Amino acid sequence: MNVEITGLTLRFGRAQAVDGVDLHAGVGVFGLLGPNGAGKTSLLRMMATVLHPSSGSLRLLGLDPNSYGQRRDIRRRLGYLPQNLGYYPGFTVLEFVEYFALLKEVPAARVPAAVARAVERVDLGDRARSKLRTLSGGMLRRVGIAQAIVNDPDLVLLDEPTAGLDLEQRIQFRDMLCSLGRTATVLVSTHLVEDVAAACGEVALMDRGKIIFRGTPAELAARGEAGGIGDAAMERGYTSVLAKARR
Amino acid sequence: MTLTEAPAAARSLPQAHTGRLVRLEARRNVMLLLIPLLALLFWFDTYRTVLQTPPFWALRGIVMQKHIMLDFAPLLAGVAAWTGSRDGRRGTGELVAATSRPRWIVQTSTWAATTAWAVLAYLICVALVYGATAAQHAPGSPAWWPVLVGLSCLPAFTALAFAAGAFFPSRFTTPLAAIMALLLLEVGFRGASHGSSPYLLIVPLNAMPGSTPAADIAVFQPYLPDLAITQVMALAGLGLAALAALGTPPGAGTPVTRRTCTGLVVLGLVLAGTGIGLAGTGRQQPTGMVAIPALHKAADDYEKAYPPVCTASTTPTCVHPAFRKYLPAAQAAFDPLLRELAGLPGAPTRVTQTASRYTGHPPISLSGPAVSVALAEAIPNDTGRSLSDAELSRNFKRAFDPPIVAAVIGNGQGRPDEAQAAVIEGLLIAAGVPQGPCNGACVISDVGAARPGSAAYDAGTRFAALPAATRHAWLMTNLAALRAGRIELGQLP
Amino acid sequence: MTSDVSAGSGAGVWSPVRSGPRLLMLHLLSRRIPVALLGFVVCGLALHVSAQLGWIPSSGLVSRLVPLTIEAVAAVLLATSMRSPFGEPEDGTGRRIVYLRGLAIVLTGAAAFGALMAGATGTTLAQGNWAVLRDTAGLTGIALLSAAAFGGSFSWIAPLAYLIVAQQAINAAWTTPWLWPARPAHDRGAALCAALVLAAGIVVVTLRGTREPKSD
Repeated sequence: MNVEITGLTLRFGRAQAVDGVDLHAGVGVFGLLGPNGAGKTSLLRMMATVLHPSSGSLRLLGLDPNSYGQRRDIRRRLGYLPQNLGYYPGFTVLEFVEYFALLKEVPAARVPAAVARAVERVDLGDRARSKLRTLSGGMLRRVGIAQAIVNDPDLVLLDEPTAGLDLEQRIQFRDMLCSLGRTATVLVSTHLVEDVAAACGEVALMDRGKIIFRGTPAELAARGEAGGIGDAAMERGYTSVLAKARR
Repeated sequence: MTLTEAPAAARSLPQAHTGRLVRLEARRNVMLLLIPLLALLFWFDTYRTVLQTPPFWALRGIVMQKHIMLDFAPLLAGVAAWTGSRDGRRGTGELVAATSRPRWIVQTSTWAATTAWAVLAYLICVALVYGATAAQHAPGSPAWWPVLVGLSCLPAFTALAFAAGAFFPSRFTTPLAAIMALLLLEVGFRGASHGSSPYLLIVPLNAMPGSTPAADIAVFQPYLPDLAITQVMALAGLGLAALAALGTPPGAGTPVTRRTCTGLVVLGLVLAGTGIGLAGTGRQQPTGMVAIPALHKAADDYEKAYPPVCTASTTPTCVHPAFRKYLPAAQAAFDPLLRELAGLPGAPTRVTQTASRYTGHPPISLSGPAVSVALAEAIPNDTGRSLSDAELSRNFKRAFDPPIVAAVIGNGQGRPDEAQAAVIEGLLIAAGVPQGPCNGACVISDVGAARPGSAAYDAGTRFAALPAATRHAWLMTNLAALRAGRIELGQLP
Repeated sequence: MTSDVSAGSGAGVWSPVRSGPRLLMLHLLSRRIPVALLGFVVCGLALHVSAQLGWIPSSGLVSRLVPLTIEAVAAVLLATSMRSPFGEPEDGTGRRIVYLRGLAIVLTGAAAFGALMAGATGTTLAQGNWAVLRDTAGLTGIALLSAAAFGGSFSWIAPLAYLIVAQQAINAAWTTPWLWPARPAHDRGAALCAALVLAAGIVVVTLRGTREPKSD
C-alpha cells in the first residue's frame, strides 16, 4: 500500500476540514469526489506533506511524513498539482519543469531527458520555449501536470487537474492517468464525474470531512438506481449517496 | 525502476543541483531589468563625481565607496526583497514546499543568483572607475579596501532584504526595504560626518569621517584598513545572520540544519555587533584615516619614504613625487614671494609639501626657516574639470602666501599692527596674490592683512608700487623695528 | 426564480447614495488602504519625532534628506496601495472603477499630506511646511507614474532614483525647477513642476490603473 491513512483529522480553528478519514490505496488511479468544502483539497494537501494533520495516522510509500528524513524521501517520489497553481511568469515551460525537477532532486544528468519527456507527455512540446505568461489557462494547467510527473513519481496527487482543459485534452489526460496508474498510486480530486468514471479504478466520495462512499465507479453508479438526480449514472449515484449521507 | 529509485551512486552531488538552480535563477532574474537604471545612476552620480576629483587612488576609492553604495544598495535591496517574496506573491509556496530540496537551499540559490548579478555590475563599475584613473596615470597603486567594503555591502544588503521579503511577502515590504536602505546609508553617513556618534562610522559609505578628503589622503602614509575591516566584519555578520535565518523556520531543513542555522544567526549577530562595537572605538588620526585601537598596527603609523621633487630655485619648493604635476603651479605660487623675502631675517629657505592634517591643524607649519605646506588642501576636488596651472597657482597663493609673509613680517604675537598689516598687504600684492573672494572652493588664509579702503591698505598699495629692490632694501633696514612695533604707518615709504 | 438584481424592483436598483460609499469602502479595503493610512501616521510621527529630537539639523544636506526620505516613504506607500489585486476582472467592469481609482488616490493622498503636515507642525524644519507639501506632492506624482509604468510593486524605483539625483542637486545647488527639493520652499517654478507631476500621476493611474508586470 502506498497510502495508509487511519483516523486522519484536520481542524482549522473550530472548523473540522477532515474528520476521521480512513483510506488505503495501492498502485492504480483513485478518484476523490465531493462537493465544495468537503475536505478533498485538505486531504490532498496533507498527503502532499504541506499540511500537518491534527490527529490520526498517515503513512505514504511506507514512510512516516512526520520524520524529516522520511518526509524528504516521500517528496522525492511525490508529484503534486495543487488546485491553485502558482508559477513564475518569466520562466519558460522547460525552465519551470526543470526547476521542479531540480527541487525534487532528480539526478542532474537525467534532468534534461526527464523534463523533455514530461513536457511531451502533456503535449506542450511545441510551446516548450514559450514564457509561461504567454500561455492560456489550460496550457498552464498542463505545465502544472508536467512538473508533477517530471520525477516519475510513485505517488501522484492531482487537485482539479483538468480545470481549463478542452475535451480532447481531457481525453488525452485520462489516457495519461491510466498510464501513470500502472506503476504509481494516483489520487485525483475532481468535480468531473466522467473523468472519474473513465480513468479511476476506485473512487471515494467525501462530504463534510468524511468519506461517505468507497468503491468502484460502477458501484457508485449503481447507487443511483435507487433514486438520484443527474443525466449520467455516475451523477445519479453521486447525488444519491450525498443525499443519503445528509439525511 | 523510476528515476528516483536510482542507486545512490547514480545521483549527482547536491552541488550540481544547486549550481543548476542558481544558473536557472540567474537566467530569469529580475535584476537584469534593473541594470540599465543602475548604469544610468552610476554614470550620473558615481562616475562623474569620482572623475571630477584629482587622480589619486585612495581619494577616488574613498569617493567611489560613498557614491556607488548609495547608487546600488537601495535599489538592490528593493529587488532582493521582491525576489525573496516571490513564492508568497506567486502562490508557489506550497508547490515548492512539497518538493524534497530543503527550502533554505532553494531560497539561498535564488538569493545567490540575484546577488551575483549585483556583484558583477558593481565590479564592472569599479573597473570603469579604476580604469579611468589608471589611464590618467594616477601615482601608486589602487586602493582595494573601498572595493572590499563594497563587495561585503552588496551581499549583506541583498541578504537582509531577501530575508525580509521571504518572511514578510507583503506588497509594502519591497518599497520599505529599498527606502530604509537609503535612509540607513544617508543618515549614517551624515551622522558620522558631523561626529554624532563614532558607531555611525560602521555605515559602509564612510571610509573616513567628513566629506571628501584632500587629494593626499593615504599618499604620505599607508591606507589604514582598520575601519574597513570593522565594516566588512559587520556586513558579513549581518549577511550571514540574514541568510541563516532562512534556515530556521520549521520545514526549512533537517533539525540539525535548523540548529546549525540558529547558531549561525547568533554568530552573525555577534560578528556584526563586534564590528559595530569596534567602530565605536575608532578615532580619526591626524592623517584623516580612522584607527581602531584593537585592530591597529603601530607598524602602519609611518610616513612612507619618498624622494622629493624640487624646483631649482634659490629657495626651493619640494613636493611628493605623486604631486609632481603640481610643482609648476607651486613654484609659480611661491617663487615671487620667496624672492621678496630672500635674505630677510626669518625668511624661509625651503618650502616642503606635507600631508594634510584632519585634526584641526592649520594647512601650513612654519618652524624657523622651514615651511611645510599641506598643498593638497588647496587643490579643489570637486570642480568637475582639471584646473590649469594658473588657477592652481592662485589657489596656492591665497592659501599659503599670507601666513608665510605674516610669519616673517609679524612679531608672532597675535594680530599685526597697522604698519605690519600694510607691509604684509604690500608684499602680497607684489607677489601677485589674488585679492577679493574666490569662486568655488579655495582656502583663504586670514592673517590680519589690511582691508581694502583702510589707510593701512592704501599704504600697502604704495609699498607694493615701489621697485622690488627699494622694497627689499627698506625691509632689510627696518624689519627688526617693524616686527617690534616701532614703525608707524606714516613712516612707511 | 428571478433575483432582486434582475427584477428591476426598487430594492434592486443600484443607488449611488446607498451603494456608493459601500463600494468605495470595499475598493479601499481591497487596496489595503488602512495599512497605508497607518503607514502615513507613522511617517508623520517619524517626521515630528526626528525634528523634535534634533535628528534633522537646521541647515545642510541632512536637513533636506531626512524629510525627503520620509515623504518618499509616504508617496511610495500611496502608489503601492493603488495596485489592484484583481487584475483583468476588475478592469473590465466599466466606468465605475475609473471613478473609484481617482477617489482612492485623492482621499489617500489627502490623508498622506495631512499626516505629514501634522507631523511637520510645531517643528522648525529648514524649509518649512510648504516644502513638505510640495516635495510630497512631487514624489507622489513620480511614484504614481512609476506604478503606472513598472507596476504597483515597483513604484519605489523612480522615487528612489529621484532621491539620489536630488541629493546631487541639493549639494551642487542646481536651479532646474524639475528638481524641486533643491529649490527654495516658495519657488513658484518648482511648485508648478511638482504639481504638474502630481497631476500627471493622478490622471494616468486614474484612467489606466497600475501596470501589473507579467515577469518576475
